[in-house]
Amino acid sequence: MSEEEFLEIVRQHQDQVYRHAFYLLKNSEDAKDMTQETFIKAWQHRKKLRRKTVHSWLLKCTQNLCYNQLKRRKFQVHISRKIQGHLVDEEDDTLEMLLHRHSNQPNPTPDEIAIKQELKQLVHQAIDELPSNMRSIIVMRELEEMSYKEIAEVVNQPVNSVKSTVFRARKKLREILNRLMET
Amino acid sequence: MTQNTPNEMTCIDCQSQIEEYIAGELDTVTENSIVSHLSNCEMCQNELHLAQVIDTVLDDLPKPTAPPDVLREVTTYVQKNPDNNNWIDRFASIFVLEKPRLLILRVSAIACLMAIMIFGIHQHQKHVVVEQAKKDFNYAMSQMQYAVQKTGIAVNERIDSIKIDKVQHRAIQSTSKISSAINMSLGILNRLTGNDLNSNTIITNTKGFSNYSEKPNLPIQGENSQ
Repeated sequence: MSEEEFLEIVRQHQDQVYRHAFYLLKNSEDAKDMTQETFIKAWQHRKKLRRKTVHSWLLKCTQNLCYNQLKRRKFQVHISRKIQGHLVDEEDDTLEMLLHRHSNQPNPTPDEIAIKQELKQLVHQAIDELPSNMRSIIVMRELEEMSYKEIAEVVNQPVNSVKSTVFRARKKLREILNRLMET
Repeated sequence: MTQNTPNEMTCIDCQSQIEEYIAGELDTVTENSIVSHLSNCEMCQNELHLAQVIDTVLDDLPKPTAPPDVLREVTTYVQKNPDNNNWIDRFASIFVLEKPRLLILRVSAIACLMAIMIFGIHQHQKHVVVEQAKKDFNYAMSQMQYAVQKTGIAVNERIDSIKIDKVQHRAIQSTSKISSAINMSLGILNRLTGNDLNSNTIITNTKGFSNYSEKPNLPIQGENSQ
């Protein structure tokens, strides 16, 4: 694979890889780092890459890097809580901010906006509470509109198992939303 | 929550299959049971509504794009660590199967080359067999002439009164003519690669003569005639 071919693949898949990392890590800076790291790993393993499977390879790599990052975060949780309590990074794009920006669209009435915004935030909160494997599959299915077969290739599971995970994740989302709405 | 008869669906069953119901993944019987249950159960209707709302909100989630830094950083890394494939890697890449169409083309090309090679070897073997048969036959003919000459000499020595030189000479002449005619025929067959020549037949026919092949330097026509 030549440099030009590889950079074409980067241009083609960078948004999807970034989104996947963003929804798993819930932080734009980390997502950017993971995206770069994924493509650097892809360049290092370019001899193994095939055009047909590069998409699932990249998402699989991103997912593994993000899981490792989440594990590291768990060990640093007390530090990050302190930082969150005292410091607010203005440049850091969190998912809540993104949701707020995304909802600023013309036409809807203020009430509609408020309800939609609240609902979106609740759904987002519910997504955050999902286990990382379910979150990853939900993001691929709902956001990237990938087929069950494509997801199965990324997560190394049978198609039926992926299907049932999607349904279980959505059921769990419902349960979490019910709980959030009661409180 | 509704009161269910034994055959009717319970709320737990219904709610556990709502996602499959929305996705249209259920069989007709289960789907009908859910529809029937939903028409009587307000709680399950609320659950269905919530699932549909989640569906809508998920469809409407923001889709952030990668910052431009990503491509820049990756490009810098790639340029600093260039593609330094050597000729072995390039040769190996011929056998890397990127597209099925390319694979079919490569296999076809290799099959054609092999077919040409096998055909060439087969033709060469045929040629070698014909040449060998020709040599064997020539040798056998020369042996025959030699034998005729020897017989003539022996007869002349023993029976001086009878001159059979003319008979001997005629016999040698006939043998030479037969030999040259067969040689010509073999030459023509050799030139025609697609002929019906059965080389095994020639070998079998000339086997009797090839017994002489153990004597490579035997005299030919004219020698020791005196």
